[in-house]
Amino acid sequence: MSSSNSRTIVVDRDIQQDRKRQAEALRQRMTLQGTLVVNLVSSPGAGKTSLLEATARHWKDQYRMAVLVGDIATDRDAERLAPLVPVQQLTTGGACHLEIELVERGLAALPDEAFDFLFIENIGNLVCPASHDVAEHCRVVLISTTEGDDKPAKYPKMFRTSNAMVITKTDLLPHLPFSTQAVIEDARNIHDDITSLSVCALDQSGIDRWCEWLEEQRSTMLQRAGTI
Amino acid sequence: MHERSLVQALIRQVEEVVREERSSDTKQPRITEVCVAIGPLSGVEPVLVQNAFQQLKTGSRLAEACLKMDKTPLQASCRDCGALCTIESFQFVCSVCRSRSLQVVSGDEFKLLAVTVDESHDQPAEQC
Repeated sequence: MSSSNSRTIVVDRDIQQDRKRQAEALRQRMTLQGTLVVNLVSSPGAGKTSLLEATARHWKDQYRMAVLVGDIATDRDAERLAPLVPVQQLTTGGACHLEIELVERGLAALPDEAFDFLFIENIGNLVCPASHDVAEHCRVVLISTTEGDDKPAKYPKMFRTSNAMVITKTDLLPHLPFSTQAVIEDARNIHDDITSLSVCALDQSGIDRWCEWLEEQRSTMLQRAGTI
Repeated sequence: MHERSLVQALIRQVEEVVREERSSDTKQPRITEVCVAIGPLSGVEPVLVQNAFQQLKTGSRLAEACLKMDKTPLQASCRDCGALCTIESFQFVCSVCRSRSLQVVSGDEFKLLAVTVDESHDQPAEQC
C-alpha cells in the first residue's frame, strides 16, 4: 500500500457545532424578547410536570408561561398542563432526549411567543439530555427524595452542567433514608456553584422560593439583554 | 443512547469537510480515517460511538473509513490557586488547595480532530 496520496485534513471542530449555533441563535432571540428558557431535566417520575403545575398555580396571571413537553410515546403530561398554560407536545418517537430542531418546531406550534418563561420539560433521563443544548438560559435538574441521595456522583455531567438542583417530594423525607445535606454536598463536589432548592409540589411548599429564583434569573437575563 | 444521533452529526460534518476541501477539478477522494477526541465529561461512551459509526457509515462516503478515538483526560484549572488538576472520579476539587472553584479545560469535548483522505483511486482500502 502506497500512502503517497494520503492526506490528513486537520479540523478540530465540535461535532455539535451546527446545533450549538442554532441553539445560541434561538437563545439570543428569546433573550431579546424577554423570555427566559428553562430546561427541566430529571429521571422519569421525579416530578417535572407536577413542578410545572405548581409553578403555574403559584404565578396565576402574574407571568406568562408556556411549556414544551418532551415525551417518548404519549401526550399525558401535555394533557395535565393544558388546563393551566399553553403547552405543546414534542413526541420523540423513542429518542431519549430533545434536540434543538424539535424545540424550534414546538415553539412554532405555540399560539404566540410572547412569554416571560418558556419551560422545556425534557425526556426523563439523566444521561443523554446533558449533552444537548436546547437554547435554554438555565438548566435545572430535579432529584426526588425517592430516588436516593447518591444521584449527583452517578450522573456527573448532568449536575456539572445544571445551574440549579431542585429536590422534590420533600413531604416524604420523614419516611426515607434520604439526606438533603448529603445530596447537596455530593452535587457541590461536582459543581460548586449549583443552586439548591427544595419543593413539595403537592402542598406547594418551597414553590415560592423556586418561583423567586426563576424571577431572579429572568431579571439577570433582562439586565444582560439591556447591555447587548 | 444518543450516540447514534451524535455519530450522524459527525458523518455529516466529515462529508462537509471533504466537500469544502476538494477543488472542483479533482475526483472524490476516499475517506480512510476519521479521528475524534472524546473526554470523560463528553456524555458519550466510546464503545457505543464506535458501534454506531460502524453501522451508520455503511452506504455513506465514509464506508471505508476507520474511526480513531483519542481519549482526552478530564482537566481543570483552579480559579483560586491557578493549579492545573486532573479530575478523578468527577470530584471537582483542586488537588493543591482543595478549592471547588474549577474551570474545565479539557475532557468535556466530543470533537472531530482530523480526516484522512486517499486521493489515489486504484488501491483497495485497508481493512479497519
